[in-house]
Amino acid sequence: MWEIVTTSLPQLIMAGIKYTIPLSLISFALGLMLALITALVRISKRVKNSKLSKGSLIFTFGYFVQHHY
Amino acid sequence: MPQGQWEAASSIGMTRSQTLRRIILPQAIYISVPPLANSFISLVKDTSLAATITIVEMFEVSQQIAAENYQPLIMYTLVALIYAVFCSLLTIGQHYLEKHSHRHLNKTVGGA
Repeated sequence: MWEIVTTSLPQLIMAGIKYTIPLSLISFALGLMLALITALVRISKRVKNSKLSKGSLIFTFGYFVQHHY
Repeated sequence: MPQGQWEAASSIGMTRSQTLRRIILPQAIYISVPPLANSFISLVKDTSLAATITIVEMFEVSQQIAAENYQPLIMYTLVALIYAVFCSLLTIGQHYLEKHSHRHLNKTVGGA
């Protein structure tokens, strides 16, 4: 058993460093950008009552429902 | 942020950028760091779902190794431990980030 652990541990850690962490960082950055844009659209006075602000609410709500359920 | 913060800053002659940099952003960072850090830690765990679309991340590598040596329990336990260590390290980082983000607060706030 320990042989399997010692041979596979470096591969797993390398995969974590090469793929898992960059994937998390990129997803987080994209999510932050989307959230920032959505928030700015929602508080903007120029597009206050436009279809774009209502659409952003639907998009945000849809993402929340998809992510948490 | 209450509008009064902006008004108070402008009343003492601060520009918009100074207000943002010295008053608004420190408070906003203090409020937003805990949920953002929690989201990031959840995201690290959720990256294992990328294995379903054959992205060769840590969980997919463990599945491949388990398929080679027929020891799925050991491999998945190992991956779970690695995820636990990652998330623990991120939690420690979150703790220090929160501590750093509210260093500007008066230590007597909320106390005697």
